[in-house]
Amino acid sequence: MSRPYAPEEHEPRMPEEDGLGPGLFDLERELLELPCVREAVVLPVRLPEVGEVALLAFVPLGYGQETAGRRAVLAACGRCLPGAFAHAVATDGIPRGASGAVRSGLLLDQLLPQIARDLVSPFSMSD
Amino acid sequence: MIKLDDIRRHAAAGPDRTALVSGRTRLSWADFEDVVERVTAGLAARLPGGRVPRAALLADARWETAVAMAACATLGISCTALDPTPGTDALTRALGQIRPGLLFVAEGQLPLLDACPLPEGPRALRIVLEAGGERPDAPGTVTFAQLRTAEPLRELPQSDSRESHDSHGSHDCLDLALVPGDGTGTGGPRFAVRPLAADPRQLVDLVDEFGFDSDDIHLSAAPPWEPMGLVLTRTLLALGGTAVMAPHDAPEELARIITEEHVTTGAIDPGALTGLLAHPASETLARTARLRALFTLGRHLGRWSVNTAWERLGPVLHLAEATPETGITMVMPPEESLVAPARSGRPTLGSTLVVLGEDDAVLPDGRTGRLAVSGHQVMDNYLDALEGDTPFATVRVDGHLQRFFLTGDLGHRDERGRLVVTGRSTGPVALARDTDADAALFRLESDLLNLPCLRDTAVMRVDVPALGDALIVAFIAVAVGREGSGYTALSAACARRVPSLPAHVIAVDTIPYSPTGRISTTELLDAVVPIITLNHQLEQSMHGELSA
Repeated sequence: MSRPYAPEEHEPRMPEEDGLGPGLFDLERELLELPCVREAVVLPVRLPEVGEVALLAFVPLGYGQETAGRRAVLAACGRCLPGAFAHAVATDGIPRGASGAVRSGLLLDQLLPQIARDLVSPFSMSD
Repeated sequence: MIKLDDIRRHAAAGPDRTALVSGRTRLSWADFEDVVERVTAGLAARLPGGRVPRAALLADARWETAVAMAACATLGISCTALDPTPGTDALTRALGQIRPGLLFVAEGQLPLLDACPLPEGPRALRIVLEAGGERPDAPGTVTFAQLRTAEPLRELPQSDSRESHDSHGSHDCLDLALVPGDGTGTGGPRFAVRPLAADPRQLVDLVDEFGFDSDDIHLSAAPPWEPMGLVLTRTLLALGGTAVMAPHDAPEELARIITEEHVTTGAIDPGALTGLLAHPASETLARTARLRALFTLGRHLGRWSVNTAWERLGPVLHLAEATPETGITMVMPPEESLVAPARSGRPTLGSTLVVLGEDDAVLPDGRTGRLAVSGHQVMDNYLDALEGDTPFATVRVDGHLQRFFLTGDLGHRDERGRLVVTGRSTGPVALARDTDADAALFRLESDLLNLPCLRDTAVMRVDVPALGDALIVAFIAVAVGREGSGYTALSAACARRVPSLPAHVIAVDTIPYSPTGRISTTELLDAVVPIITLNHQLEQSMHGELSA
């Protein structure tokens, strides 16, 4: 049997033009591995009056697990994108195409009112 | 889709066996043969010279789409399903590229099609796919019901499509697969030109690997523009099995169909699978259903879905990696997917996957590089490919030079021989946004929080057929009988801040919140959208009467 290894040691450098680039794909995979949320995705977006944000949209397992899901996605983001400003938003569903890829524009349209509300409320301070 | 020759063969072997199930419609192989013969004859009579090079299909999976695709395959017409969800711009670009001479369209998609500027050249013949539906006569438009009244086809037209699974002789008759945009609003749809005669080899490989046979009852819960679902449906029909077309946005109905139709295999789109697993109706499927293999695209499927599928459906979920450019390249079987990392898989029969370094040399196991695919399913090229813009590389593997398609994925082969996708070679894709509209929406929220004439409010942006892209603003008035002032203030604020979007303001008794303070938009929209839609329709009819 071949020797186990750490593939991350051999990761090629990612393009640097986007500040969220290097850890973004690791974060995508970490979010997929979270069993405490039904779905979770990360969108690198530029929000008005805020700037570049790692927007974490997640579907909680239920109302009771919303806080736990929020903590889990923010912790994953902290591990993979430690320098990024992250904002987690719970949602009832994530619009996807036939391949399962997120329909990012539609999702952001749906989330923007809630994000705006979060950013002027004390809850967002915990992010 | 399969051709008339194959349908006749299965109809002769078992005329009463079920071929297609779609909603309340159930077609035996004899029925399927009859309707394909009639539709093929109806098309041949209406098309110039009996055929056109290309057809496009704008409809969900249903029995009429299977018949339409079978008729096109019989006539040697390349029929490509298009995705209507990205909107008119993407659809216009798609139609401009393939320039179809024939358009199959569901009645519900006609407004979208009418909104698209037509490509230059002769207007495509439109077939409205409604079972028995009547549409006012329009030039160049016929209904599916009208096609079905044609006399059955007795002789195949003189073309190069007589043999099953043969190649198209004409360069115009390319077999195309839709490559959707990246979902960010940038870039548009492209088309992959599928290799000639790939289908028979693919059929043999799929049967060898997964043991499909004529006794299988196959669930198709993926839209026709998703290539894996289409390939599996075609495979099962080519073997003489039964295809059950199911809605992919109704989980309760999906669970009922799986149980009552005794489905054994299936292809389901990831969104439909997540919806099914989250619905209480799927709780008993592991005990009541006969499922043995369910395929879905696994790239975006999370751990919760994999674990819940095991609990609710049993050991059936196969996570596939498939693109229009490469076909089905990797599959992760159910047992291994429980312990394997996300976005990993094992190559399917007929596919060779390698990891390439910067100089296009094959990297050893454990090294991360660009994933490349070779095999008989890999496309010839993109339809709009420019000279020199080729996504292929010639690589020496096992002493032989092979042509590999360079995917946009980075990955490595792990110590257990699994290929793991770890990133994209192009880096993150920026989301194209109307920043002014976003900023206006942010300011609107601030404005609304400062309005003294309401107790609470919730702004939601929706895109529903009846209202289009619009804002819905629900509010609780500051006191009973003060709804009027709240309505006026909110309408004015929306018109001032976001004039580009129509705003529908409605007073409600309560706004539902989750324990963490999030507005439960689904619950709220379920309550207010029917009322707003009704009001909107009444307003429109009143305006119509006044202007008349």
